[in-house]
Amino acid sequence: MIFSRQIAFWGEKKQLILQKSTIFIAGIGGLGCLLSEILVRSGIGKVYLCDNGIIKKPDLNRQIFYTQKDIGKRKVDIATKRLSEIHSFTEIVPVDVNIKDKNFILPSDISGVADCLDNFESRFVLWDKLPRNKFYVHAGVERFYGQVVTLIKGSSPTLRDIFSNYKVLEGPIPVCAHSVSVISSIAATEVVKNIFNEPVLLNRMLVIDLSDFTFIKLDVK
Amino acid sequence: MIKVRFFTLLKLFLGISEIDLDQDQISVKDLLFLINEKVEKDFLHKLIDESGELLRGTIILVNGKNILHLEKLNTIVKTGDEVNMFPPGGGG
Repeated sequence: MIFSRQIAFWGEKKQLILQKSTIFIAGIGGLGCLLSEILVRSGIGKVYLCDNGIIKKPDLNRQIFYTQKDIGKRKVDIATKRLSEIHSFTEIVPVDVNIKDKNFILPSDISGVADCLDNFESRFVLWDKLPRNKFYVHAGVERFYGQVVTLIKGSSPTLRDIFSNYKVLEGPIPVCAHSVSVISSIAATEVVKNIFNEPVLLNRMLVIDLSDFTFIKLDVK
Repeated sequence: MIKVRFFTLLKLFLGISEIDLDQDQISVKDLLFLINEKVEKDFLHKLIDESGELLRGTIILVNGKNILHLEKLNTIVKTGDEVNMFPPGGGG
């Protein structure tokens, strides 16, 4: 049985909860690739993969679904194909739209959102479109550092409350596979913990710094 | 005592992760100037522009709240408070 190794420690009840859950994954870049793979391999019931990007050469240093032969192709197509090949227990729904498109609305059947986007303007729009009481696991990465936090719409501080004063970098954001893989794995773990109603980072931001392996939790209000 | 902690790029630049300041109360702006004196490194240019306004790029939390939603650089910090400063990772 595919999921026997994890059922061995979290049990069949939680596996059933996972199978009935749906996550909207915003951004299938560095963070979104590994996060979606972890969720699918965990046996989540359904994922929406949202990205309107095309695969480019500089993506290959960290976006694990894509290889040289995929350059120029749509990310959602390659990601959907890759995830569908792992097993058939998870429904994979590609969503090729820009979050900032005014006509975009979040699907109504989601348990929560995994924010794997690459800019704060889109994150704020996604947050605005999130229904009340849904969880939002934010992940962001840059260089050797990043952060992960869970927010609940309506009872947590808003994403803008926390990240006002972010800076839009000129040019590409420096980033590598090492930080992306650690932070996406933590974010995927936190998504699963939210599904189990056991979030660790609810209103607590984990700041991860791989330059000296510092992990610190900060309360946010 | 006011504890100020620095993360990621700020920590790398300053070479320290935190500093304790023996102050009863002080504005965030004065606190930044005080830190600048103590660390003997000009990190103010990373945080404040020539007109004395907060530059974009660094999140400053006082007891978990972003100072932009308090009184910005005029936010008063008191003994026992905790100030955390970090540039967030924006990429995905």
